[in-house]
Amino acid sequence: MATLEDSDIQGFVLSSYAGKQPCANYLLLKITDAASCRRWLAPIAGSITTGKDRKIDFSLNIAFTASAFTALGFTADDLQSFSVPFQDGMCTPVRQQLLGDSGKSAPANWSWGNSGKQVDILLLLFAKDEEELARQSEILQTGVRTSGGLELIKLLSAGRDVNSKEHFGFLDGIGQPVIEGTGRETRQLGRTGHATVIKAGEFILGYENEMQTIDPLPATPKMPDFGRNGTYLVFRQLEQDVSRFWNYLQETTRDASGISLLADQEKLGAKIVGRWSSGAPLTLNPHADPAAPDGVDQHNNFSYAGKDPDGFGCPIGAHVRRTNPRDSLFDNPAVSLKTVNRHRIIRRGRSYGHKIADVHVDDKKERGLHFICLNSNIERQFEFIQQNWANNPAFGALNNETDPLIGQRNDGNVFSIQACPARARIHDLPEFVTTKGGAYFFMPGINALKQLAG
Amino acid sequence: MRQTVLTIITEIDSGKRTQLERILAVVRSDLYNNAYIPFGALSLLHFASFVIADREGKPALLIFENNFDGDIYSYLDELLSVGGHGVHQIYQCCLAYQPAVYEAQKLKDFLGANVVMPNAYFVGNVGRSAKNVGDNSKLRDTLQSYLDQLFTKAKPTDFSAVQLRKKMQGFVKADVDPALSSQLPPHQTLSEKVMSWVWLVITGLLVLILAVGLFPVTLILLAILRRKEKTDKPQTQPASLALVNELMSTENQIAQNHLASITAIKPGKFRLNTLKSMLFIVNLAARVSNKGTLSGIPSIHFAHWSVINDKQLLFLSNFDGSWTSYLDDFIDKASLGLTGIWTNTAGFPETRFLVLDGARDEPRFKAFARSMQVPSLVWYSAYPALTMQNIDKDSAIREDILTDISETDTKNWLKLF
Repeated sequence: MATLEDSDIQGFVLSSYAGKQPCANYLLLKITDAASCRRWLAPIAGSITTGKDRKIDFSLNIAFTASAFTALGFTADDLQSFSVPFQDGMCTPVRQQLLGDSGKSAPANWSWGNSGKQVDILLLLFAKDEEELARQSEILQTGVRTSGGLELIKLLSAGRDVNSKEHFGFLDGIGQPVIEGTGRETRQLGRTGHATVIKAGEFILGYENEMQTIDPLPATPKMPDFGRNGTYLVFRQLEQDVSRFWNYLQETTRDASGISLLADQEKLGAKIVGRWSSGAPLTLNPHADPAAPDGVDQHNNFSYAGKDPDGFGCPIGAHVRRTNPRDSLFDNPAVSLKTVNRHRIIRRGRSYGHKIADVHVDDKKERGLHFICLNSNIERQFEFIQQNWANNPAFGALNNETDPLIGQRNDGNVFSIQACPARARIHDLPEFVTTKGGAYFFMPGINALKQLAG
Repeated sequence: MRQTVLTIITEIDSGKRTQLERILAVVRSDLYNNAYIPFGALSLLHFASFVIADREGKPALLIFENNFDGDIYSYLDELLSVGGHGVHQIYQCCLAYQPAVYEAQKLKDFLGANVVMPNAYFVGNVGRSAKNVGDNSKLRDTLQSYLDQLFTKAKPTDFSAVQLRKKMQGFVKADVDPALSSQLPPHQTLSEKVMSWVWLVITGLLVLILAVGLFPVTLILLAILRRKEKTDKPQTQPASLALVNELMSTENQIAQNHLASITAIKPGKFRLNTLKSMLFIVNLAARVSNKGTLSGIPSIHFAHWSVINDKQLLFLSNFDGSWTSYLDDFIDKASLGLTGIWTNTAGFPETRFLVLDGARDEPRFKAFARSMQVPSLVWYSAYPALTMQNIDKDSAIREDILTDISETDTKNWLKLF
């Protein structure tokens, strides 16, 4: 087992900071002058939170798009050592197609990250409270303004998450893998009853991955170790239409006399997600959201092949089953797990916007998820999940269905809920989630960052 | 019904290359109804493609891939009856084709004379004709709609499994074209199954006897192999973004994807013979593959390997899902076999003892695979929405729609919907 070089890895790779620092800002910057940008970067590089730090008040991390590296002097050959999707960017026609960013989600409609609002640098700010966040954000923004080499394209905020529930009303962030070498197994076991330990190389470059190999590092002739301790960060701003979701549940569960019980809406919502609002998995609790247990809840301690092979608890096409099929991908559970472990991501997203007052009433306010994930191979991890599982109309031998929660709709718009004696199907699913912006970033190690600042 | 997998390979007249590419672009723009080959009208065809293989100092090759039901002559008859003039115009861009005006028999003879049978091939849904596949999916669709209708008036749990199946059977007998529910033939005859195993076992034993009996020769061959493996130069550069994007621009449009790859066989008889032997063994193994998987990969409809002129290795595959998922399956489940094949071609990642390492080096293997891939100028699928698993499920629905089965089997059959 490799020992992680904590002091060279950015802290955000190893921690979400969510416990101590519930308030976050994301600054999206564009480079307007390379030399000035470098001068600005040098002191910033020294103040980036590392994996060794345990900051109480404030953490700062940084990541770059391919266009940033070009602006800072990387050649086309240098860039070729990076992951193809990173070189390509998130809004090319090829990416658009495999991520399902069409219609309302098309990059042309994005508020940042598309060709009109290209971003180069992402600063991630995390603070213990709103005051500290405002203070630090102001300092950094002043630095950007006076640098002479940067322009603030967009400031995104993520508010406090009182109960860790995302806007549709479900507990999120449960099935998180543990990076080998971080010693977080016990903590994850204590939180969810189960820990999947994945090789560090799947999330941090320079370490052995699930193939028992160390992938070549992104490099330049002058910086042969540039990629070491770095990773790729995927950022997607996903707007959630909460009232549309709950109104759809209401309409779909109306009985012959036109009545829709809230319990039926919650159950249908749970079937779509694959978990109850509390986070309890349907596979273990097929009939109702259980009361909180006395000891450790077992929200992550389940698999499909043994308990739920036919989807009678958690439907085959439910959101959590598509995005992490666990041992149900192939006939052989062990082979499935081995394969699935090569397609995992670390999720570090946070919700934005205010909680809706009444889930059935559209208050016309934007809210959603700043989806962030970390992986060492965008193509094999993030994009794979999105394309081959979430948006795949034939996932699990289904016909013409996509992820009922986050999927883009094709012509079918159907969702099958398996049961005995026969499945139910719901029709005409609308899109509940819209992509509003996004980019592929590289989050370098601390030494690489210092070299970059020159 | 047996399926046939073959290519027709001809030399392109370099002066007419542009014209040829223009024709192929027209075909591609409307696969079903274009004026040259309206593929939608071919009832025997599963998958077809046109790709071009460039060669140094020699005319480029036009490769026409065909995966179809039955024998070559019935297929060519159907092909020429719906697209004879178009096919004629395509081959007018090729060197050895003489006729100035279209004559079906001459074209048929020409195509037949240029058929290249694969050294190794795999068929996923053995014994399921293109017509079966289409009919079965229609039957499933009809039954799904029937259930939807039924459940607008009653809850699924109002029925027992047996009652529900009876209703579905009643509906099929009364309201559905009997051709969609008639009995399907078995995937393979018993003798086909047995003979495949017999050949594999005999060959396996022979190889073992030779390797042990001629132990010194085996050692010498291994020594030669190891020396070559240590000096061969793997490709180290990743594939260029421009090439990857060109290839990806036509991928992921339907349930399946196409991979056409042409690699140069390493020089010398040793590599050529090793490659041919590997393909021979893979071919025997592919004949006994069951449940539609090739070395545990469940997503391949048709795949084949052909050695062209002892110089190039052609690989053509029609598979479900994305390129990445296909290559990952390759690496996870079949790395020994595919390393044993492609290690005999130039640029393949470093290999030990013919089958070790090689494809397990994921980034370099993927870079190699992308670099050797050629654009599928035309690629047609007869069932663009159906994966192997979908086809299998549809087939299982049809096989038992009208049979007499137990209550347990009834419950399992209903899970297919």
